[in-house]
Amino acid sequence: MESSKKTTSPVAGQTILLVEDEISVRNVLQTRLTKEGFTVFPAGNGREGLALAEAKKPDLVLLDIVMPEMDGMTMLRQMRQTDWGKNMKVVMLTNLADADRAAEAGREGVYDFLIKSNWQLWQLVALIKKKLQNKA
Amino acid sequence: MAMPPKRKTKTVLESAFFSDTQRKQWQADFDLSAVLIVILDRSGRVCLLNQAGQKLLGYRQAEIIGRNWFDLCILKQEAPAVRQTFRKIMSGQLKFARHFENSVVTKSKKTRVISWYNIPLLDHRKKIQAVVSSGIDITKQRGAEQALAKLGQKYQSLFENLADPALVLDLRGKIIEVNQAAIEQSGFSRQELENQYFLKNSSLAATSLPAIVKNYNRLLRGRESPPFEAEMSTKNRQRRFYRITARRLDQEGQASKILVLMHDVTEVSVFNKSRQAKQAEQIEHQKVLLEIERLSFARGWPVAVARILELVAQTLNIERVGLWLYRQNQGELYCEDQFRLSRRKHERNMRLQASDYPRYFKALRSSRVIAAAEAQRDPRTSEFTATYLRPNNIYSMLDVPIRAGNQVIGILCNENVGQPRYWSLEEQSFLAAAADQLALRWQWEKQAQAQKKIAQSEQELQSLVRAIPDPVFVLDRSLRFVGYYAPDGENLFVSPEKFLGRTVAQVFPAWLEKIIIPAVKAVLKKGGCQKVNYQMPLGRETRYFETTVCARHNQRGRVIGAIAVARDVTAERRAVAKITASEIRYRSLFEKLQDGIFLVNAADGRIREVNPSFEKMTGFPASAMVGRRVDELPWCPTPELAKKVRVSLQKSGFIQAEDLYLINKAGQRVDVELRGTLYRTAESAFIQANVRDITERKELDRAKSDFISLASHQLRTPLTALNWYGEMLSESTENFTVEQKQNLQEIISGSRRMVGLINSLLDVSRLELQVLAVNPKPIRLNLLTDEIVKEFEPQLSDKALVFKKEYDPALPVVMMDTDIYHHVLQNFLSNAIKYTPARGKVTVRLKKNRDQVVVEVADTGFGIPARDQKNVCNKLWRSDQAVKADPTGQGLGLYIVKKMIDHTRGKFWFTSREKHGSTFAVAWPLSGLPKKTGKPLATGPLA
Repeated sequence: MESSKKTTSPVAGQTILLVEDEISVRNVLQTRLTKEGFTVFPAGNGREGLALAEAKKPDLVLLDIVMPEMDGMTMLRQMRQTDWGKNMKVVMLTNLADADRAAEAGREGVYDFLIKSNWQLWQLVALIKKKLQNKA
Repeated sequence: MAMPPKRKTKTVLESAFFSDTQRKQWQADFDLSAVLIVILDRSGRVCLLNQAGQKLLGYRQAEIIGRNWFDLCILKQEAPAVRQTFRKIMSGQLKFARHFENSVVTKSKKTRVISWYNIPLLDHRKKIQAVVSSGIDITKQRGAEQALAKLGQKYQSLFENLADPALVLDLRGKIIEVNQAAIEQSGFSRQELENQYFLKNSSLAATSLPAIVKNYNRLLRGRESPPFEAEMSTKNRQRRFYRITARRLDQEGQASKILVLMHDVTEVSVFNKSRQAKQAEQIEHQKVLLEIERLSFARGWPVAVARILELVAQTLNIERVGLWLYRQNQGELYCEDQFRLSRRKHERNMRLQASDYPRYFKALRSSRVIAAAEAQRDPRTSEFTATYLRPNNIYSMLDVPIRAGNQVIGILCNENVGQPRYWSLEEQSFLAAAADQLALRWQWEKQAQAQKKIAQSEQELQSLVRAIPDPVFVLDRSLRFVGYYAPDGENLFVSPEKFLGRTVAQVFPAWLEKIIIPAVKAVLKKGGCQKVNYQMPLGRETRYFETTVCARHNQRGRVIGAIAVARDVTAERRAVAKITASEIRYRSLFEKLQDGIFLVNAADGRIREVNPSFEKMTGFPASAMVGRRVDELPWCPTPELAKKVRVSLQKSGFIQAEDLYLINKAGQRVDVELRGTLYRTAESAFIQANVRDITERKELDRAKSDFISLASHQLRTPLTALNWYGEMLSESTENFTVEQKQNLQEIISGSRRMVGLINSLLDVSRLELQVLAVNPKPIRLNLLTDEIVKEFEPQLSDKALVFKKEYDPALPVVMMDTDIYHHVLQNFLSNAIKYTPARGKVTVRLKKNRDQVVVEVADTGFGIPARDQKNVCNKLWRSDQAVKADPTGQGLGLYIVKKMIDHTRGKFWFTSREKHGSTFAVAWPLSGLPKKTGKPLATGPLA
């Protein structure tokens, strides 16, 4: 059922790194998040994502798993080994429902492991907001 | 007898002196007389003999006239004297004796005593010419007188010379006469005795007086007195016993007297008394011997022996009485029991060796009684003097051999303490009798033991025979059938009459003979047992027999025959054949099966056997594995696992494990599926493990799973974009027409359905591949159920459905996977709501049922027609009603639910009645869901 799509005001200046290789998905998510007031940095694979994460130090990383060149888990592992990346907030966004990977993600400090196709956009946005509010 | 001489001269009577007439007158007168009359002339010639005289003397007058009286009728020895006297008288020298007696001899040479009265016949010159003698035969009288005189003499001398004292009393009891013996024995003098009153005699013992008086009175009354005993004492106070016989002497013309004869029976009395005592003793002994006999057979051997020895000791007053038995071929005497009278104690187990006491043992070997009155000096027993006799103050020994059959088995040893004892014959014979009783008892004991053994072995034989269901034949040494035992007549191939008493050769056919006889002969010769096998046509079929022939022994161990037990083994053979056949089949399966099989002893976990496939699977040869424990083998991944498998097998008898693997020789992991079964045989239990290499399958599964993952990922990605763009679009539909807005909704819902389908497919595949993860957590089901129900509140209210919940308050906390529970309950609830018309009822029940928790969702909806009920859980099936009610449903829901429930060891069932409603239920064990690793549910919470 359609629930209220009330949006709360974004905390100013919140940045999100979006690492997703599927263009259509990346675009729509980027559009939506930008609409919400977030600053979104897109990346198309793990390598790009790492570089951007290091450069921009985003408040939140939305990380896909299946990607060319470097997949999401590798990027996560590498990130966690850096000073700047070890405590960075990460949300895995994937269509691969793999308990092992979820466990592995959990080991790397990622407790949100979402199946994209099961989540509506507004639900996702709400979660992201919640996650960012926590820190603040 | 000489002829009477011719009368030459006339008798004097015929002389002139006497006239004829006178003479005739005298003849006539004398013939009338009863007495003998004879006239003799001066020379003694018979002139006349009267009839009486003729009768007496036996001569006719004619014979005797003229004969010389003295020659004829006087005893030859007396004749001279009588003739002389006659002459003297005739010559006047002697005065004429008128009266005298003498003997005459009759013609028949009998002697008669005549008492003569003589009258002389004188002539005119007063000279005696003849004598007339009349005689009375007083032979009898004289005889009587003589006899009487003799008797008197005799009597007198008898009386006098009686060895026994004799008294004559008058009727007043005064002693008139006593004999010599009375004087001597009493010590009194004649004067002291005679003329005393017997009854007043002080030597009569007071105790005897009554008897004496009684008998005396009897005599006085004229009655007879029986002999009786009386005690008297002599002058010097010696007590003597007399047997008194008293008689009354009544003689005509004389005063009555009492003759008292006394016979000294002192010795006899004493002898009798002692004989009585001895008799009493003998009777006592007899009694004791009877008692011994009774004891011998009434009790057990040790008790019997003890009691017998006690009786012997008590009866004869012997201090030590012992029963010693020979051992070691008479080389040793062993004391079975020895009784000490004064101590009333029994001792046992002492031993005497022949080597230590050679003389004694030698004396014993003579098998006669050893009566050693002075044992310490007697050479037969003196060996014991220093060590045994003197220290124990034993003076006399009496050893009586105990004979059983014809051998001496031991001795009854009697010892007297304190003084020498001269064992009397009675005592010896008593002891001998006691020894005989002991011998009998010993024999009886031995026999009883042997009989017990025989009975036992007989019993054993009986029970053995009864236990054998097969006929048993008994043969003697000459191969004759002497007995048989058969459980029933069935198995006997011939009826008993036909073979009992006959030999094997006579009964069996030749071919059977050839088989049986050698076996019998062999056991007869060597003992032991032999088995023979043969077959025999019986009726229409052939039967197989196995006969065991054993030797029969008697008590002494000699072979006296044989026993043959004939077993019909036909059935066995068939069974064996069957088993062999199935064994062969098993074998071939075992060898050829593609699955690996290994057999393990249940007891110790050691491998018994492996098949070639298993060898190939593990890469190890059988030789490397057989005899080793499973957990030791390199291919076993973990020892604990092997043990666990074995233990759970022993519990349940069957195990199926699918997630196992082993490491083969090359170090590769081989995924296997194990099916183990526990088999119990008579001897042992073993586990047969079937191992299937599922590597390929697993890879396939993995590939499938990967494919599905990949496929679902690939499918989901464009759908994500679709959904989100759709969402984006729907947020800016101000300028859309209604139709456009509806179209957009269709697109969005269509793509959402696709997502749902993909999720379901993913779940189906996971369930089918059994890789669905199960993560049970302790959950209060009532709370969780409420949460889930809450999600459906809007739907329930939309259709105005009445909701009821029935939760068991005692429901405990259950280990439950929330996602799965959620999924199942959601499915039930959504179906209930979907397929129930408005204002119907939906009830959720949580129940506890023994060891299960039951979740039920009941509705009052359309129900499922009976014919469709079996299809309900089929993949992609939906009933017509369902399609009508929810065209978008995919028909996977219940299939997934059922698979999910199965996967989590739950039970699923439903009941339904068309137009009334349905109840869907799931039951899970109260112990909770099993944890399983794998992939999580794809179908997440419904949006």
